[in-house]
Amino acid sequence: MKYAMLIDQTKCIGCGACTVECKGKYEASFGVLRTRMIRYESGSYPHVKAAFRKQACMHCKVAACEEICPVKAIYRVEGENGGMVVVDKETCIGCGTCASACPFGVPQVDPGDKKMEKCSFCAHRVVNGSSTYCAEACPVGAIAFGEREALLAQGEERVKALKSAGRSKAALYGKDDTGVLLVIDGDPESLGLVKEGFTLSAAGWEAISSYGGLAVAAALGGLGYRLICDRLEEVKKEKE
Amino acid sequence: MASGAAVAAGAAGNFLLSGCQPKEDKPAVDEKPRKPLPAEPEVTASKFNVCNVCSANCAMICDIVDGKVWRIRGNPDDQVARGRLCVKGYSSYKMLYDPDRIKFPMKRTNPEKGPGVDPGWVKISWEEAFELTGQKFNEAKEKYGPESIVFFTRPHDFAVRLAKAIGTPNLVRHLDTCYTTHEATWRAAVTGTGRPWMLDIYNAKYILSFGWDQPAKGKNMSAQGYIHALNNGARAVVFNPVLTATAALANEWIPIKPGTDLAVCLAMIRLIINEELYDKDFVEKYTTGLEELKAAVQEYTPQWAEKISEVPAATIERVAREFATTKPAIVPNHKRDAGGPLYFNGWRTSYAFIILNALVGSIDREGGVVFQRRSKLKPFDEVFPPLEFPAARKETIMGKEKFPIIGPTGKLGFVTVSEAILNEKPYPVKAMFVRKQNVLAVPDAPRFVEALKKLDFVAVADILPTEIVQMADVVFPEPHFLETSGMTDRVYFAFYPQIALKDPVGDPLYDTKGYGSIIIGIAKAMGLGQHFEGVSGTKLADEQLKALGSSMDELKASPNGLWSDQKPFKPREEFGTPSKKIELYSTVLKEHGYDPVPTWQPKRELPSDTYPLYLIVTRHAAHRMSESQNNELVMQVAPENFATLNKATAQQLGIKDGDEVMVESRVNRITLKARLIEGIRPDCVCVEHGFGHWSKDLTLAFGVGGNEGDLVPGFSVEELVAAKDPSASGYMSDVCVKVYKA
Ligand code: SF4
Ligand code: SF4
Ligand code: SF4
Repeated sequence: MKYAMLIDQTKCIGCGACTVECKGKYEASFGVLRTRMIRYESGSYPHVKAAFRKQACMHCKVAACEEICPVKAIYRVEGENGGMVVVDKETCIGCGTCASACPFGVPQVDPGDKKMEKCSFCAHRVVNGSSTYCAEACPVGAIAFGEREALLAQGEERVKALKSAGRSKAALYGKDDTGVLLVIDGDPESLGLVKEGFTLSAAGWEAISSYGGLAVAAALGGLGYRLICDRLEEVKKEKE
Repeated sequence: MASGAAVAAGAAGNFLLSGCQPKEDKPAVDEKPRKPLPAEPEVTASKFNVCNVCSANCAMICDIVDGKVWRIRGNPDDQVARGRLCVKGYSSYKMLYDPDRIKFPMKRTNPEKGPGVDPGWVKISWEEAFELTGQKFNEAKEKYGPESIVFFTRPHDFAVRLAKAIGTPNLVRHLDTCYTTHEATWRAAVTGTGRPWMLDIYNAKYILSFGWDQPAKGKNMSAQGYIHALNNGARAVVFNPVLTATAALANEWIPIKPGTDLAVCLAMIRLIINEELYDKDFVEKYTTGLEELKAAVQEYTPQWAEKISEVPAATIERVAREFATTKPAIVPNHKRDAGGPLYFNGWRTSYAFIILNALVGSIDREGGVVFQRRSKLKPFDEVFPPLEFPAARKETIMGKEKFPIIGPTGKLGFVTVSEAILNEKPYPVKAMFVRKQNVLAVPDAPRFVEALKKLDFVAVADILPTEIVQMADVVFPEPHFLETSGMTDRVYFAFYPQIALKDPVGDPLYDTKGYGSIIIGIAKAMGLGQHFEGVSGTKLADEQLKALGSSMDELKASPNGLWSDQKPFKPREEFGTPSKKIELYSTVLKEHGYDPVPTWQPKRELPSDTYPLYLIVTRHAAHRMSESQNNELVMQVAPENFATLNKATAQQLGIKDGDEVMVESRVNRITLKARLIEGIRPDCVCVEHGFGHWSKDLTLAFGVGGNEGDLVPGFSVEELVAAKDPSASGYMSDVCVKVYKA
């Protein structure tokens, strides 16, 4: 992905400006949000720290949701400015498999149209060289949008500055794995994030797939699999 | 609130398991070419406007698509907005399109009033609404005197003139629940007029907050300034019983005991003076009273303050030294911080803030508390010279005449209004005109409802069918601010005078009238039309701009929707006190029988066996008072309010996260969901304001959460006089409560 977002959680005040700005621009049912704020705490009173995390699609380099979607509804936007992970709502059958696979708990099935809803990285704007709505809205500049290379440098710079100010746990999250980069101050777990290096390579996915039917039962159980098939049938009928 | 570790483990577990689905078993999929991405909607017009959600009035640019507001952006050239808005500004257009809006004038047919009572609304014409109101107001005036008509509104030139024309001195205002502590102390000790509104947080290097929490509340310029300053290496220390976002982002969070900030301030003042760490040039040149102050604070040692506040003496000493030796340093003050009308000692705390800022030379200096450079707008009475008004009674229901410092500003009355009406003190009130105020904002709201029931007639101008609308006899529908025109001065951040254009986003959606027209309509119906001959909002704005060498036409043609008089910032050398200096020992307070220095006084209610917890009140960044709970966007970000408790406290009380709980004070009780965190003192419960709506006409807001204001007692004017508080303020958090499972 040529473009990235650098979200600096050490600047985020958890106000929700990004959430409302995004929500107002994309149609989805009440309460289905493409991005939301979560407040995390670590320690116990009075030695407590709190921080916010903007929880939205991370646009993983190898995306679990894309790999696992049984109907290939999740795909990459093509082109020079593309690379973001998006959902083809016409193909999506709303089975929610992606939701259970995502390491960030991002995809949601909208109860209205029964389609998966998640952050698209404002793909339709970004392919034309525009920024994302949330980056343009954040009042304190916690969300930077730009070319990945530049943002990587900016992120490292920021981490260096934080460290020299005594915040030894400052880190840049997502360098190798995700399209969205995060500046965090603490272990990834303290912000509800999986450890870095979580992303399986494409080869890894191949390997898992080759285990064949054995894994199916373990993964979703026969029931889960039947649900996918049933829903697919339903969708086909609806279309006819 | 999920713990970080739990969320991460859950997600990773799912990830591994569900990653094992074999490819060959996938159901067959038709591979079709992907549909192209949708196009960005075409913006047909962009209109300048000014956010009216809060008084920051950020300048906006509203992008219109298909005749509707699609997006609102901050105006990059506005000193307040700096190209961004806050969450409330971004979501404000949803109120414009709220299907629950009042769409035409109405009158009630059911004489019974109160929560749960259907008013039996019927649609009426504007003529009938004006006639009915004029007739009822005139009846009250003739039978009980003009003072029996009360204005329950925010300040507005038209309304003030109507009140004068009627001859009533009773304009009740809400600032005694908002900032009269700051107003009274700045007025007495520094300005002789009002308080400053501008905090130059951007340039501060040391930010010492006592409950100042504007960034966490999302306030645009404060949030921007705070993050900017922190990135620039500023140090922030936050005293707050709750670990809010402001505290979480600061270098240090100090969970101080509620209502004891004054003790810490006094100890800091003492140390800074005794160790001669103050800014000698500034103090010598621009202040008086250092010696008297020094003598008065000698008893306030850090050890003494530690006993009261539970802040270690060593911390108080260290922070005081850092504050006094890092430049520029600021104790930011806004509204409901520890120096606001929260506690019995609020005004003293506010005065201590002024002194701390003066000691480090941060009054009207960059990086400090700055007097906004406003545009010199020609006053309404000069543009439209008034006729002679009837003499009004001196005595008011707000007790204005009994508070020599805050009384003349007229910024009071909310705290005492229920008692005044119910006890007919000093005389009976019969009719009321309400605008942009709600029942839920008044302390002990249920008692205020009783007071409203006692009135013969209530007319309300509003946008949404709020609780006070449910108590009305006649309702005047107003346009949403995005439908209005005019101009607004910059106040909350103005290094130089700047005015922003308001250009409506389109034709009004409903049969509404602007506030000015409503006032004039009532005046005419009362036979007082002569006081508004030739008066109009459009003309006022135009005349005011012409006096500045511009005009409404010129402003409309301005490429950025702004008029600016960009001159360099010149720090003030003289102040508005008798000595022309900042008075660290206030001769004005002394003259009126108040303490001339901020000596220690505890808060009024302390935890007891019956009510063991302090009540802390805050606001969610996305919500604006009790006005935003029907906003569809806002309610998705902050759908309800909670009783936030420390986990340890909750465990003792047998309360689990998400349990329904009762919060009970000596006046009322409310039901809420519990939210358990670590970042709050174990002796506190914190509730967000704005919820607990009982108007059934508010689809989203109705019945959600509880109104913490119900828990706060109101007062009588006599009680406030006896408190010897120059600000006549309410004590909006000075109440203790108990919490138990519902
Ligand atoms: S990138 Fe776009 S879709 Fe994603 S959270 Fe931001 S505004 Fe929403
Ligand atoms: S708008 Fe910015 S500061 Fe506010 S919640 Fe989003 S990322 Fe955080
Ligand atoms: S701070 Fe927010 S609510 Fe206040 S005027 Fe600015 S955008 Fe509007």
